[in-house]
Amino acid sequence: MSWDLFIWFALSAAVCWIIGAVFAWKGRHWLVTGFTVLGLLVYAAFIVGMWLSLERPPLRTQGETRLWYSFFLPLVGIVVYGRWRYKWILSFTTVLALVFICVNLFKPEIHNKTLMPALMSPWFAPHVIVYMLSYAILGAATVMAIYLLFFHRNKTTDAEMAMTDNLVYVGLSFLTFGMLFGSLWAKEVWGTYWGWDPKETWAAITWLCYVLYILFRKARPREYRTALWLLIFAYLCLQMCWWGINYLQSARATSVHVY
Amino acid sequence: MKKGFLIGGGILLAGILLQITVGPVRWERLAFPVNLILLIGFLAVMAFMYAFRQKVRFFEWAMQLEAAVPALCYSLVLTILLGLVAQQEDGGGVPWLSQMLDFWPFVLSYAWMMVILGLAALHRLVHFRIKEIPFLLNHLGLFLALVCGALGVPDTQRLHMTTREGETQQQAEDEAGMLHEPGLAIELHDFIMEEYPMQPGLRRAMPKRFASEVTVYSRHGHKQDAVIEVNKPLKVDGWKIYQYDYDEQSGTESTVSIFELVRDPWQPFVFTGILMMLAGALSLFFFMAPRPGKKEERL
Repeated sequence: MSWDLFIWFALSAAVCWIIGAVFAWKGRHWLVTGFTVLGLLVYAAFIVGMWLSLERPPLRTQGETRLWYSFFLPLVGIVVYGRWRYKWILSFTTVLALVFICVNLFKPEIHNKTLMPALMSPWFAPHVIVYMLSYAILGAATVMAIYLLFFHRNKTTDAEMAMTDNLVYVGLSFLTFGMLFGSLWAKEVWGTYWGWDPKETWAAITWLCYVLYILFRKARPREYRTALWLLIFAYLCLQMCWWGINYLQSARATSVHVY
Repeated sequence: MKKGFLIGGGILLAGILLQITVGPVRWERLAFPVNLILLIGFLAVMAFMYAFRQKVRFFEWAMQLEAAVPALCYSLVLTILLGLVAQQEDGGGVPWLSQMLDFWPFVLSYAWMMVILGLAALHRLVHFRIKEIPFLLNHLGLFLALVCGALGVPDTQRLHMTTREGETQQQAEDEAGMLHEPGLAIELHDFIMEEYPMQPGLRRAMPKRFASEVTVYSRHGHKQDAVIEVNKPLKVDGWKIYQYDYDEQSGTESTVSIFELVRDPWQPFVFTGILMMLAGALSLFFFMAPRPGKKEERL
C-alpha cells in the first residue's frame, strides 16, 4: 500500500460518506448507517494497508495524522447521528473530512515533513482529533446562538434552546477529552500534567466558559439572551486558544504551542 | 446572584489585602505536612458547613447554583488576565498580574469555587442515587485534580542528572543548583540522536529522536536495562526518569545525556481525578446532555 493509491480509496470513501449525509436529511436511518460504515471500511482498509507496509502505525507525519482526522470525523458523526438523529451532523463531519482529504491530496509534500520528538506520541492524534471535533461542534452551537440572537429575535423556543444546550454538552465532553488527553500526554513528555503554558491557560478559559454556560442555563433557564451572548464570548476565547495566541505578545515568547 | 457577586468581590478584596500585607502566595511553604493539614482543614470546613446548612442560611446558599455561577465568573476573569498578561518568574512585569499563580485573589477565587463545588458534591454523596454518578464523576474528579494538583506542587521534586557515556552517575541537581542523591544511579551506555535529512532553507537538520541506552541501579540493588527517550520515560522506585537534554554543542556526537527525575507523591490522586473527569465527560455525552424532544428532531 502506498500514498499513490490514496486518491482511489479516499474518493470511494468520500462518495459513500456524501451519500450517507444526503440520506440523513431524508431520515433514511439504515441507508445512512450503511453508506457511512461502508465508507469507513474502505478508508480503514487504506489505513491498515499503510500500517502493514510501513511496519508502524501511520501516525508519524502530519499527512498521516490527517489521515486519521478524516477517518474519525465521519465515525464520530455516525455515532452522534445514531444517538441524536441530527440531520446536519454527517454533512458537517463529511465536509470537514473532505477538507483534510483534499489537503493530503494537494499538498502531499507534507508527508515528508519532520515531526519533532516531543510530538511523536500515541497521544498526538487523539488529542488533536477530539479537539478539532469539539471545535466543530461548538462552532455549530455558536452559529445557533448568532441565529437566535440576531435573526430570530424574541421568538426563541425552548426546543431551540434545548438543541443549543445539547450541542454545548456534546462539544464540552469532547473538549474535556482533548484537554485531559493533553494533560496525560504532557505528563509523559514533560513530567507535569499542567504547566499554565499560554495555550493551556486559554484551553482552561475556553473550558470554564462552556461550564459557565451550562451552570447559567440551569440557574436561569429563562434568560436566553445572556446565555447566548455567553456562547459567543466562549467561542471567541476558543479562537484565541486555537490560533489567537500565535499573535498574542504574552504567548509568543513562552508558549511551546505556537506553530 | 447579586449576593454571589458581592461575596466574590469580598474575596477579591480580602485577597488584595493579603497580597499587600503578607506578600504573594509562597507555594513552597505548603510542603508536606502543611498541605495535608490544609487539605484536612479544607474538608473539615466543608463538612462543618454542610452539617449546619439548615441552621445557617449562608451555608445552604453556598451549595447552590446561585453561588456557583458568580464564583466561576470571578475565576474566569482572573484566568483570562493570566492568559493576557505575560507571566514572569523573576518578579518583573505588571505588578501582581505577571505572577498570577502566586496572586492571592486568584488562589482564593479558585479555593472558593472548590468549596461550592465540594459542598454540592457532598450533598449528592449523602443523598446518593445511581443517577447522580455522572454529576459526582464530573465534580469530584475536578475537585481531586485541582485541589491535589495545587497542594502537590510544593512536594514535587524535579532533579536533573547529567550522565556521560561509560560512567555511572548517582547525583542530581535541583533547580537551585543544589546536589542531591535520589537513591538511584544511572549508567549511560549510549546517547542516540537521530536527525532528519537536511532540508533546503534550513541551517540545521531537524532532530528526529533523542534516546539513551542506560542501566539503572535502584536503592535495593535492582538492575534494569532500558532505553529512555522523549515521550517514553522510565519508572523506577517512585521516580520517573525523562530524557531531558544533551550536549547541544556536539549534536549527534554528544556523549552526554541529561535526565530529569520527577517524584510527585500527589500524582496518583490527580491521576484519579483526571480519570473521573474522563468518565464524567463520557457520561456528559451519553446521559447528561438534554435529549431534544420530538419537536426539534424536525429541525
